[in-house]
Amino acid sequence: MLWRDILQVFMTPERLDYRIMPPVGLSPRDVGSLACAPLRPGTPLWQASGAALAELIDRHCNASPRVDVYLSDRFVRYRILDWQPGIVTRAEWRAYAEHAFREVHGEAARSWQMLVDIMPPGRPSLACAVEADLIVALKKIAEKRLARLAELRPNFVRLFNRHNFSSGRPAPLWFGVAEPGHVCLGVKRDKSWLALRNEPAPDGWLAALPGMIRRMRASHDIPGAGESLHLCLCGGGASGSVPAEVEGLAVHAAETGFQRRRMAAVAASRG
Amino acid sequence: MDPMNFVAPARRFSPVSWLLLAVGVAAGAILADRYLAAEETRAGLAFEAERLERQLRPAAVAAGAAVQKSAPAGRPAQQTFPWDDVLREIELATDRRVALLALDTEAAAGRTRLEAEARSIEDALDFAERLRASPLVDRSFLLAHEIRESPAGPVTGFSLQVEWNPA
Repeated sequence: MLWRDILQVFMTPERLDYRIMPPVGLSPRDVGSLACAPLRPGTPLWQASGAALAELIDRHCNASPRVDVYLSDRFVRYRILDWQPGIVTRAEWRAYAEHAFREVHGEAARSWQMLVDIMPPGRPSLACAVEADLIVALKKIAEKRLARLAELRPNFVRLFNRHNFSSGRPAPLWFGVAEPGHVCLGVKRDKSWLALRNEPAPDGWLAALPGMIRRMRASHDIPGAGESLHLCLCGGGASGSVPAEVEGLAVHAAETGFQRRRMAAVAASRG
Repeated sequence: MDPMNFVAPARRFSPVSWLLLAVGVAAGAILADRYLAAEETRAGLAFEAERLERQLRPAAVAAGAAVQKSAPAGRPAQQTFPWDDVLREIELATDRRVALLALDTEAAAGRTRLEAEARSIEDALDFAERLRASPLVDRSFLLAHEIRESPAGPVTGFSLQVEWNPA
């Protein structure tokens, strides 16, 4: 189909933030948020959000849309892989990533699908993994509705690319994505990821951030004050004012796309 | 940084892509049409040039034969008769409406008899008129003409006598 609506979804286990873009034009046709059914014990984390996505396509989309899904980092695992001189081919990189994830997460990692952002020799590469069942389930949901699942990307990676930071800067660049009860925080220097932590934050992202920063600095010998942290707040529960400084880092709130458009839509609906 | 897309990127054809494809196809079709038209014109011109060349060749051969017949080698008439100029005048006066069949020159008398075919008597008279306009020609007049049938339709066969001006 030539003219498809574009359904963009930020998927978390509890809710879907979405916007529906027409094939032509920049203003969304519909913007909203859909709560998922409560998680039942023993079911995969993505089960309820998959069902909500099916409902979203059925109820809100015309015909067969193109679907772009941005996965909450709660569905994603990250590892930074040190450069190894003997690893060259894509198959070798895949095996290396599988081994690295199994080291941390055990046999569960066998059922994950992995991608590696392979860097030039001498620099570490970022790998991320998602449950293969989640990918299969979302593809089936889209296929059944004649929709096309065009993108399935981790939210941290999407937002980092969206802000198009100058990656060659010599000073460390801190970038974080905070969701309700979860924080993904990375630090990059000279086009290389130094450290990345993707952790639950049961007491909220604001309480979790200082400890994460201290641990990352200590374990990777990252210098102290003087740098900035660009922080994206995602999901309804992560709203709140951003502090001016955390652990010596000047904090800048970075927009997520969904947030800005939702606010604009809400403002417009209120007249 | 790599987009890390977990679904294989499918081929994307946006409306702009389709539009560009359509424009490309249309431009290609126009160019092909123009090329074919130009090729057709070129082939027509080549054919016409070949035909004219073929028409002139027997005239030149006949002229050579006439020289041999009327003035054997070494005779003064052959040396003084301006063959090149005469043949050039005949060639310049001949166009696509006239086909030369035979050419008989009496160099000593300074005259040439042409056997030719034209599409109509007007074309034959035009041909005689063009010859007459040449400074090399003293007189040019029609000796005879007749309508003949040919595979391409009726043609006018005619005999023309040209008297050259030696000055």
